[in-house]
Amino acid sequence: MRTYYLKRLSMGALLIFSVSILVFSMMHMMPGDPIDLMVDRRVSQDRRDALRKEYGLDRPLITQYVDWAGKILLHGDFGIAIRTKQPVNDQLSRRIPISLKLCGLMFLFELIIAVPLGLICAYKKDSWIDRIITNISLVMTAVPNFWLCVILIIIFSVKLKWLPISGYEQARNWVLPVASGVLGGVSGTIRLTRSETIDAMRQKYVVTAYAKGLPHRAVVVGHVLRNALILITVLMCMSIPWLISGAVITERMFGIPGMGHLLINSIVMQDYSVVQACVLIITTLTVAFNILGDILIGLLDPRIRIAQTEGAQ
Amino acid sequence: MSDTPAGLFLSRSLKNVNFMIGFIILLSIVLTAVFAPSIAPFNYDEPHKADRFTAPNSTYWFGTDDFGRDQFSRVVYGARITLQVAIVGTLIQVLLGVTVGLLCGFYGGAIDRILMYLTDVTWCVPGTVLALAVVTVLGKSLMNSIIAISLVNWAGYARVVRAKTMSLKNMPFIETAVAFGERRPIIMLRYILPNMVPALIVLISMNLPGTILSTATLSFLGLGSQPPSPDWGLAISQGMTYVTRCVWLGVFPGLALVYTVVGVNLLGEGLRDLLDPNIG
Amino acid sequence: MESTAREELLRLDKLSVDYPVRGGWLSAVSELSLTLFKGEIYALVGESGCGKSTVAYAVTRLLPGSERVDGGIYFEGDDLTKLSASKMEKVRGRRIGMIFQNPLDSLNPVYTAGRQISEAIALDGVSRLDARDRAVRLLRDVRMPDAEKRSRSFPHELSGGMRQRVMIAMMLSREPDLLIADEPTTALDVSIEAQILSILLDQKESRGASVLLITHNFGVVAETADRIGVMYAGELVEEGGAEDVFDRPAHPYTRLLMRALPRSSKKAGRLETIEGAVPRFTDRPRGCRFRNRCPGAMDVCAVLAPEYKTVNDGHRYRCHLERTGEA
Repeated sequence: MRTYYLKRLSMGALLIFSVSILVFSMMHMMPGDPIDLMVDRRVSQDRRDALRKEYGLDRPLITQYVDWAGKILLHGDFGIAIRTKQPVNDQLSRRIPISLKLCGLMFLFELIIAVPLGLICAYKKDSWIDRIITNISLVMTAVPNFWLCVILIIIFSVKLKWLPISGYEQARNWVLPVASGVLGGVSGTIRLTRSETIDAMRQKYVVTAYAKGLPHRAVVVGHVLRNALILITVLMCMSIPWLISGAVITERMFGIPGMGHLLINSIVMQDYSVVQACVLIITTLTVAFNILGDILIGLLDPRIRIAQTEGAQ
Repeated sequence: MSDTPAGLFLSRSLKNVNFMIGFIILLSIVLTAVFAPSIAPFNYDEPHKADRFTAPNSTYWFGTDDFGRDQFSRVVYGARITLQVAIVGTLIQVLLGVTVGLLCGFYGGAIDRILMYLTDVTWCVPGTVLALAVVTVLGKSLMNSIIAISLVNWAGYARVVRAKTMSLKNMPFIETAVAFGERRPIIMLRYILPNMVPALIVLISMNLPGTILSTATLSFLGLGSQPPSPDWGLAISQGMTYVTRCVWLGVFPGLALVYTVVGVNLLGEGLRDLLDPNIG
Repeated sequence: MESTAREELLRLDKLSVDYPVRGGWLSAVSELSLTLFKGEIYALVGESGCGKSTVAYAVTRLLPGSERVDGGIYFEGDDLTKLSASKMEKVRGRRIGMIFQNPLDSLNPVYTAGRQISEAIALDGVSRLDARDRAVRLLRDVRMPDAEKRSRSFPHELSGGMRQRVMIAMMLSREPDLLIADEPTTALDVSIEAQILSILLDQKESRGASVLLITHNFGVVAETADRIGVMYAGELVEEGGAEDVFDRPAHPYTRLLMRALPRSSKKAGRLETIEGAVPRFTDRPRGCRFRNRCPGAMDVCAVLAPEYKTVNDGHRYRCHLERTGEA
């Protein structure tokens, strides 16, 4: 078991390492001189060379990479933003908690709304309520998230004037951003919950559970849900990073100063050290949640636990 | 008519409701794009200074914007951009994905491992974020945003093509071709590729909504199409600027997007029933 | 077969089950009547697709829910078809136990063997801890090697024979009066098959339980059954004491089944060597359902469904042909 986790962790580390090289080389293949982004074109060549030296941009790429990666690994230091000339960490540390709050709320509400609805659909399969929910969620997958934000703003802020368009200080500011994120993500989870539960209900061990005399409720909770929720839990866990990237748009729409907002602004300003940092953080989260998902599924499903143990040997 | 395979396919598709509705929706978009100059009452960037911010009326069906441009005409012309995104994006993805998938599946070994590791790497960066990073490097334009989205989406094609190639490779008819001394590239292109056309068609229809929506998202963020393009994503972001004054600006291009994606989804759903390609 | 003063346990009265299919109903079981007495093993034999498993699922009311059921299922005086869902829950496991084929699919992969058995025991108000001990004891009773350790194993860690023992232990745990065993030995080794059958026999002898044994394997029947019913296309075509049916089969289908047994070892014979397959009927047809495969089919068979003919007390068959010599 432990060998499996170690193997999985080292695979993850290798992936993050590869992505860091990919991102770093991408940003440094960018056309144009990064010094142009820092100072006006009219600045003298001497001053430019001094700046180049100060930021270490005169060194070979490999040295720059080792320096950059080393600082992140040893000190968690992402360097200095070339445009704003502030430490990237300062910008991140202000914004990450805001993004986490947004994603946490979105995840929570998605769970509370989507899983019960998916279960209702599964239990009332082919009834009118199932048809309504499945069809709405099918249409929702065709709705781009940013347009959904616009529509929510039009309805609730412009027409009804119930909720503010932007800001993040008060609870009422968070209603629309969270709602748009949840509405966007909920349909996938509903359909997953529905199909997993229907699949679990069709299993022969459910018939066995009835045959030994278990009451309906005990069968549903102990056998159908217990088994259906394995994959739902794991896939939801693995979907958290995608929630973060979805939040990029939500933050931009509602003017929430989170990491996504920072990422977009940095892209527009070509502030590549910030872009590097954001992409690397999001990638690390993705890999981490994937590993967490693998560990979770092993804990929940003994079949996979054994396969993992044997596979690691 | 229904004796030939094509005739059989036609008669079955006529009975498939999803396929037919999706097909009609898509056809309407293609026709709109092709005949945009005849359908649109105005040119998409023709300003009407006197009619700025007009609400939808009988002259301007979808209203006008800050330059007094007819929104209906802009939505009609926007279909051309969406069509361009769909065609170019799909082409890049299929070309990349099929090439890599074929090579990996056919030759296996080190090539396979390296290329599959590369797809693994692209998979562990969330699509939107990777596309944003690519756009940072390439710069802001519609073409660059299409390239960025394609670089994110090609891996899905590569995986399916690889799996299909590996299973086809061991079929007797391939072994016969090898025995007759056919060259490997010929075997891949003439024998293996035609056998996965149904799977590819379904895969394209499944990937198309994502390609269209992601490119529109980049345009919306100001990283794709630049003004005065009638791109629907860009139009929605302009609508957002005036959201408190004129609601119609953001609504109609979004409806056009949803209409398109619903059409593609239905078509894909129908194709999956009709072709039944067993994609892993 | 002596037939005096036998007490009735289960009686099917013109039981019919139809499944909805595209454009109509598929008749899986058609007006099937049979009686099972206390303390006997009744074998229901037929090829796959003849509706014998449907009978088992109908009795325990575990059919998928879209089907149409007519007729009566009387169990110790209750008509099971009319019982409320919650009353039916009290019948299952406690009064009727059901042993399924393919115990890998039929056991929940996320629970240990012991847990799945004790879950049933705990329904009778036994504490979790006592239930666990009982589960181990039951596993020992069904001759599970290393029962203590195996009770902590997950289904996929067990062999096919061990899984079937778990399944049987689970269904014996509440000592039901009737055990329905649906192909309990399919896909098991002959030696394990013999052990499993002896466990069923033991249930009958030690505490007078009845067994409805559903199988396509005449070899299984020969060793264990007291009475035999032969099913074809949803109908009971012949029924009688085991020796009567074995030695003097009356229905042409039964004879074909017998002939399909390899001469050398009747016991290992399977019924796969008859040509053709069991037909499926989307409506209830006129005439005899077996006529298209019957070697002795006559004109009358196409228009008139045959009535039961009695050979002797308890031995009846359903055919227009008079019984002629031995098969």
